[in-house]
Order: sequence, then structure tokens, then C-alpha cells
Amino acid sequence: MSKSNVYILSASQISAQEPFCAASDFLPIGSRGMVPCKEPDYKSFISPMVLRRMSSVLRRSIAVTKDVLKKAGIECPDAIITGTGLGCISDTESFLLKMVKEGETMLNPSKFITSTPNTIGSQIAIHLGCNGFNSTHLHDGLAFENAMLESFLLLSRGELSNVLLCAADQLTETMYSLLDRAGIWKDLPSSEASVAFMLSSNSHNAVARIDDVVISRNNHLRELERMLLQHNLSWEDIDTIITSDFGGMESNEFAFLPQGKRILTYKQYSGQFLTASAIGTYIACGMLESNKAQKMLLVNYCRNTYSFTLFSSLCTN
Amino acid sequence: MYGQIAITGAGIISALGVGLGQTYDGLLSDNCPIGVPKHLATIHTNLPCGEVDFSNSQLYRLGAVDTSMVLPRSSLLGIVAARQAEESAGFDSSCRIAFINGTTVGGMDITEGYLLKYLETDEYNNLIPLHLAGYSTDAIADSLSSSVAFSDTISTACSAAANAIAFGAELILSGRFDVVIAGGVECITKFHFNGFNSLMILDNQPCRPFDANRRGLNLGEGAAYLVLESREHAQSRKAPIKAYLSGWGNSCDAYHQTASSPDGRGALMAMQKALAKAVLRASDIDYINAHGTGTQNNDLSEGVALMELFGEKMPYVGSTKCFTGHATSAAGALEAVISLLCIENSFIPANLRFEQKEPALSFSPVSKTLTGVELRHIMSNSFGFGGNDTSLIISSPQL
Repeated sequence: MSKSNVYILSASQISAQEPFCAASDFLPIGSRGMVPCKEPDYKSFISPMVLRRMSSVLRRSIAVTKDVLKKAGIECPDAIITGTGLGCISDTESFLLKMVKEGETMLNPSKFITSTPNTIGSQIAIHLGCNGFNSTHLHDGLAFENAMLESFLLLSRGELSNVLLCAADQLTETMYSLLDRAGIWKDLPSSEASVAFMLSSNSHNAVARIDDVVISRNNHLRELERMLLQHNLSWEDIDTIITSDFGGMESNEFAFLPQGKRILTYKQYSGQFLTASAIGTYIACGMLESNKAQKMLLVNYCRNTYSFTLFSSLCTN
Repeated sequence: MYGQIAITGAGIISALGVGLGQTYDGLLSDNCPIGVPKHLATIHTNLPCGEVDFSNSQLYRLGAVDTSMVLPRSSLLGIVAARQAEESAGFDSSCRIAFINGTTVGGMDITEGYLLKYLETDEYNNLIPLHLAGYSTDAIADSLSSSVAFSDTISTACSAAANAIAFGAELILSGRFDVVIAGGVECITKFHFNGFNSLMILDNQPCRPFDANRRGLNLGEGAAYLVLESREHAQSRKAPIKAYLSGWGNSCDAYHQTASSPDGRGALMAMQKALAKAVLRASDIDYINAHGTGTQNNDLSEGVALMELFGEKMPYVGSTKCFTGHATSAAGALEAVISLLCIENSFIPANLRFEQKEPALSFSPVSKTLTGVELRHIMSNSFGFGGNDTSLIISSPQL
């Protein structure tokens, strides 16, 4: 298989960490409960009039978008591809609670209008005046990887020359407590973030390369081996693995990974949310850019499905 | 790219009935299935919609679903249509299979039904994760007899199913999968029924797309899936090719969260991209299965974009939402399957209840069923909230 032509030009995050800070400055977050985002001053990204009406997930996503575009020197991307687990959950919840508590009369449409998950991608498009390809993947804990796979395929085939890839999820008290009771957070701190990546098929000024994205719900070992084989790699060539495991909570799910490798985790920095692997990807980018890793594999797991993202550093040894 | 992405199977459930046969019969019949809600527990009993006329327990039986599993209505509808699609294509279970589902409501019907109970008691905690759209998608994927290697949920509002089909085509082109089952599902929920009602875009009579006196849309529900594979793969297993997906185009209107731009810029660009992908000229399109919701804004904006693209040589235009209602995230898949039926049976369904031409548009839709029309290429449009506009081109296998 020929070398991938999918590069990461820049990355940006607003999360439980300091807004826009580098991954090397990340600190572990609390051990339990809700850990909300640390918010930047949005005035330099969004006009105050617009800002006032905008839910937190939208303002964060627009701010990280503007930041990655600026870093990459791109005004308007060819495409905006979003991954989200719960979409615009605060506005959804607000319309829903009013309806179930007060009945089906006197409902104001404003929260409904911005409740659909694609509001994130379309508000980014409206802000940028971007008429390009626009898609949203809403697939629980693998929404970000699915969005990345679509980006990867469209760039690989030359359909697009660059893609703004955005991951966004939002924490609300009601949904936090419901999903906590359903056991989704597994007693870990729950958080939220918007994370953006500027992807390009041109390596100029790139910080890392995405070699492949493979997602498998029925035979992850075979798929992983096939991916390594296609890239002429053995486990020896991969110096760092980063997983969605958290303090060994899911160690059974990751037991197939080889012993004796450097295996890192990201959820102590991101907290739990459905697109938290975007923070894992942000950390991978930082390590690859600063030459702290050469070949990295990010492994995410959700409901019997695994994703494997293979990255390369562009630093020459 | 005519001749590359073969459509070898299809399944559908909507207000028109279950399966391709009932859908075809319904489209030729004068009995419009749009009526007041029977299954949705809403106070808006006067607002017409295109419900699938089965209760959830009937859907459990129809889909042969284990009744000990609690599933959202969207999964139940999806299971019925996806299994039909799988069976009709008859591929081998050793194929590498992906399932791509366009949906927005996911398990919203369960959440809105139980939310107050969730807030009071732990008794129903096991139902909470059903809210997540991925659960409803994977419940459908798990119901298939073949093992699904990759599943995804696309949620771009009313163009979700069309984008799922387009992504399915990309997955086939990538060579990663032999077969992709792609389409979408939506059940009517109180959440979006009330959302659309609060926007004051629901017609209190059956909808009248493109009519000068149109007053809004009727919501609909259903599920539909296409089976996509490369022509080589279909031919190697001697599968009959029903049609080709020859073009797809996605563009964002980037104008307003709910309104379409007056010049239909996103719609026009999506259609142009689909034509470019198909390597076709506008004059090659024989019929446009329009988004045609029946709202003032959509039909005008879409119509202006059609005039810009097709000029004086307007192909036949019609909206089949006057039969199915607007099945939101499933609409693109319902209409792709309807387009397939039109090609197979050489007919164009009537754009029902059309009386008066919209003065701002140069064309009128097909007001009476046309039969015996040879259809080479059909363009199917799906436009969503947030300006997520997608156009598909479905082509006859015999050209």
C-alpha cells in the first residue's frame, strides 16, 4: 500500500484543560463527577450579539475552528466533517424537558431549531460562509473515528484537498446524571470538549500524518493485523500506543495489545465523553510534532467495536 | 461515474406500506395515506402526518424481533426495511459488510416517554442509553443475518439518509467493503412533531408541494435502505443490478439554521456536484424527485435552484412527500427507493393535490401519474436544517 497522503496541519481544543493549551501542558482532571470545560474569552472569535444566543457547544466549536484555520493559514476549508456523540444536547434537553413537564402547547421553537446534531457543523459553515461538503456523524463513542474515516477516505481519493474535522460534545446536568445512572461513565469524571483538526492532502507545514483509520465491530484482531501488514509494519515499528482505557477499568478490552510497549491513556486529561478520543488524537499530534513519538497507534473501544488510528511523525530522525 | 456503484437490493417501510410491491401500488393509487396521527400519543390530533400504520407491538411481530428487547420505534422500522434489503440482494455472508444509517431521532421516542420517570426513579435506568442514536443504528445492524463489520450513524437532519447513501458509495469506492447497506430511518416523535409545529410549518391539511397555495409540510416516518456494491462484485456473484447510483453531491447552503437561501445556492451546488460526479449534463436528467416539502420557503428556494440549473428544459419534477409525508432523516432513502421503482416500472408518481402554479417558478410539477415513460437518470434531492443539501442521481441499468 502506498503511503497515505492525509496530514494534520493544526489542532485546537477547548476542554477541561486550559483552552488552546498544548498537550504537553495537560494536567490530570478530577477523579469523579462533572468536570466542565475551561472557557476562553469568546469575544475575539464571535460577535457579542451572536454569542449571547449561542449554546456552549456551538461557541466552543466555532472558536476551535477559527483557531485551527488561523494556525493552518486557511480561510475556508473544502469540507466540514463533525463527529458528536450527543449533538446539541443542552438545547435538545431544554425543549424536551419543557415539553414533557408543561405539555405540547406554548413551545418556543428557538431551542428546537438548534437541537439537531448537525447544528454544530452548519453553524461553523454559516460562520465561515463555507458552501463545501458538510457532514455529521452521530455514533456514540465512535462518532469521532467515523468522522475521521470519512475525512480520510475523501482526502485519500483526492475528492477534497482539505477538511476541517471537528469533534464536539457537551455536558449537561440532566444528561450527565442519566448516563451516569445508566453506567455509561463507569464512575469516572465526566467532561466535554470541542476539538478541531485541519486535515490536508498536502504535507506542507504539517505536524503529523494519519496513515490509516480502521474501525471493526466483528473481528478487530484480524483487521488490526491486516492494517499493519498493509503498511509493512510489525509491532516493533510502533513505539507508542494510546488507548481509551482509564486506570485499568477496561483492561480486559485492551488485553490483546502487546506487552512491553509504551502504552499511554488520555482520559485522565479529557474525562469521559463520547468523543473524548479527539483529545487522545490531540495528545498524539503533540507528541508526533515534538518528536516524542514516531509511530503511534490510537485504540478506542465502544460496545464491541474497536477503532485503530495509525499516525506517523514527520520529524526526520 | 455511471456503472460503478450498483444497487442490488432495496427495502422500504413507510405510510405507503411495507416492501417494494405495496409502495409501488400505493404510488399508483389515488388513496393518499396521509391522515391524522393514530399511533403517536400527541394532543395535536388534527395535524395530518404520514404514519406507518403499525403499532410498535405490530412492528415487533413484522420484524420478528425478540419482544424481551426494548427498542425505539426507529430501530423497529429500520429492522423491517434493512432485512428486506439484505434478503433482496442475496449476498453471501462471507462478504465484508458495512451498515450506514441516517437518523436524527434515534431513541427519542423512548426518552420522551420515560424522561419524567427517569427523573423520579432508577427503575428504568436500562432504557436510558437507548437515547443514543448509535444504539438504534446498531440494533438494526445486529438484526441482519450477516455480520456487519462497520456501522455508522449520519445525522444531517433531513438529508441524513441521502448522505448515508453517499458515504456508502465512498466506502465501496475505497475497496474496504464488498457490500454496503445504506439508507435511513425516522419515526415521528412528539419532540420533532412539536418542534416543527412550533416553527409553524406544518400544514393542517395534506401537503401541496410546489402549489402556489401551499401551507407547509406533513411529517412522515419510515425506513429504507439500498444495497450498494461495485459492479464487478455484483457481476461476479451474478446478482441482478436494479440500477446504478451514478452521482452524489453534498453542499452546505451556509445561509440560515432553518431557512433556505432565496437563490437556493446550496441546493444548486449539491445538484451540480452530483451531475459532475455522474459525468452527466442537466439535459440527461429525466425526472427530479424533489425535496418538495410543501413549505413556502423550501419549494421556492429549490424551485429557483432548479430553474437556474435546468433553464427552459425542465425535466419532470415532483415530490412524493404528498404520499409519505416528510420522513425527515429517512426521506432521502425513501425517495431513493421510490426512484428505483420509477426506473424499474417506467412511471412518475403524481405530485398530488397540485392545483395552481407558483407564480415565481417557471414550471409546474407532474400533477397526474405518468406511465410508460422511459427513465434514464433520476435526480433525488434532500435538503436539511442547517443547509445540509444533498443530491443523488439514480440511473437505469440498461443504457
